[in-house]
Amino acid sequence: MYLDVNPELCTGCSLCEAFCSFRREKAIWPTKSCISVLKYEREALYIPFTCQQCEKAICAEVCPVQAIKRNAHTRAWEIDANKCMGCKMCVASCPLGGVAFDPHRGRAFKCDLCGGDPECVKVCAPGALKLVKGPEVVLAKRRRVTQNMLHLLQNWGVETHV
Amino acid sequence: MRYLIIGNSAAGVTAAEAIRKIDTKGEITIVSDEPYPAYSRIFITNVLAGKARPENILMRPPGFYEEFQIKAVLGQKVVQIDPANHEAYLEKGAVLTFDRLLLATGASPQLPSVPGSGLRGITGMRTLADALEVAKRIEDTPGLPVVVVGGGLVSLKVTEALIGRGGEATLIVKSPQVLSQMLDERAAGIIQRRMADAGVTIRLGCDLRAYEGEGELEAVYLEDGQEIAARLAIVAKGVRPNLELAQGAGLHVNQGIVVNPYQETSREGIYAAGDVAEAYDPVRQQGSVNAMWPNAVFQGEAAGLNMAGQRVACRPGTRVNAASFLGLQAASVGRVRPLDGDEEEVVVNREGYYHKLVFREEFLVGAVIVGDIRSIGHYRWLIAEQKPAHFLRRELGRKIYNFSAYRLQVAPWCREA
Repeated sequence: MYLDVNPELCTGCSLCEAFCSFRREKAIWPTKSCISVLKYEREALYIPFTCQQCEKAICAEVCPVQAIKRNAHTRAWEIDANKCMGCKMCVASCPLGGVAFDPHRGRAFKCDLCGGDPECVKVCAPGALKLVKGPEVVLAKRRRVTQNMLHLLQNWGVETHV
Repeated sequence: MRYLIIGNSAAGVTAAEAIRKIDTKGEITIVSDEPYPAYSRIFITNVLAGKARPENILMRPPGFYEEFQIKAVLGQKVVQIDPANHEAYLEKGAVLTFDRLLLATGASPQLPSVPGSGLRGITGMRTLADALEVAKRIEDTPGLPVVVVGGGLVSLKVTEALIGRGGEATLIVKSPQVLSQMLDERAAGIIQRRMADAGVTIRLGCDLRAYEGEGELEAVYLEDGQEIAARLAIVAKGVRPNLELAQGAGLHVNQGIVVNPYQETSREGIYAAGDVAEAYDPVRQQGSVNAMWPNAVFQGEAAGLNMAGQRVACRPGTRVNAASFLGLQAASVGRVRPLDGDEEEVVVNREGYYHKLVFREEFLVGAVIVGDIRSIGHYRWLIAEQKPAHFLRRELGRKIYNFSAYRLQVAPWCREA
């Protein structure tokens, strides 16, 4: 499973942030949300940044104590809060800003797909966030991630340079 | 194929794993002068603080070496390598042979050579042994006067650990600010205020002149003549790569062991990775030793894959730091101070919160953050991969949350949903 993000459909309403943080903290608290919508108002472009459950996950690779492990059921990379010691190497390494740090608990946190039923997907009315299941999507997903997120930013950066 | 890896930390262990992924039969040997199974150096100050035990900071679970069929030669130092005969000599006389060699020998603390530096009670803070020794010393003698020399990450972590144990520490910093490599003046100011509030004495812009004592440390003298009573001096003034083996083998060495993107040194079959290696840095546009944990992992993996016969370039690395002190998060990547021709954009600058970006033409070349640091990884990627990032400028400030005040309890209808 992974969250498929389509920035073309995102309206920038940020309900995903609100509900994600509410599920985790019982408060609307965007810095404690696993998803974060980058807003480029002038271009009317909104890009939800969250963990893409990478095949080759940099966060898990750099974790000095191997606290980031794949959930066998959801295939989500999950941070073992008992093992995490708060060094923030994962935060510094994820190109998508997919891992955040909770200063109150001294632990990193990230999207765990809500155990397979993500809140953000349920509240995303335009359908910019979708849960995609099954192993056959892996390759398509890779393409999608690259094209949608990184490529988009990259090309767009070139254009706006003029 | 016989693989010999000298060094048992981030680069060495990652390399061994990468080799094993490809070559299931080859002999892999890891040698280290430290006696412990691989641990995370990052967390030795947690051990010092009493917040972790050595077994909590292991890099890999017990049984790792058996599982990956790695022969671990621990607590033994390699004193010389002979590249022509493919041999490495251990201190105690044994000889190890190899077809491929990885130098992941890391770095050692730079101890200033001032008068009295031979006294007992002066230590670096680099190994688990250092942390355990200092912890024991402090437990044995409560109220021991301690000075911490240096203003870098390690110094601050040590200081936080000491005051967390109820001790007191004086921090001696040569630069006019703490974390001069990692933060600019304003960001450092936020950290310094927080430290002062926590009761830490910081002496800025003042270097150490001498240690004083008879056999054992009793005091330190500063450049301005001030004397500070100290029975223990913990020195963290940066590290220098352990180059002795490479130099002895005639490898091309600059600040570190010079490597290409495949982690190859100037001699075929010999590779280097981690804090000892000097690789191309896209921000500095020259070779650079970036002694950072993630870089060591990336380089170790690339080295391992290439040693086992693949041809894989390492991810471009640049300097990135993320840390928290006394509840404040701070992070930076690339240049923290603009050079000529760079443009600096301060997005937020207010009490406890700071966000600055440094641009050069359409590229991001540096960032400093105090507060929510989650975008630092994205900035690192934009910088290291040299992606155009001009668009960031026009949106500055839009995605910066109020860190302390914005906390609304949601309406009851929402709870029921």
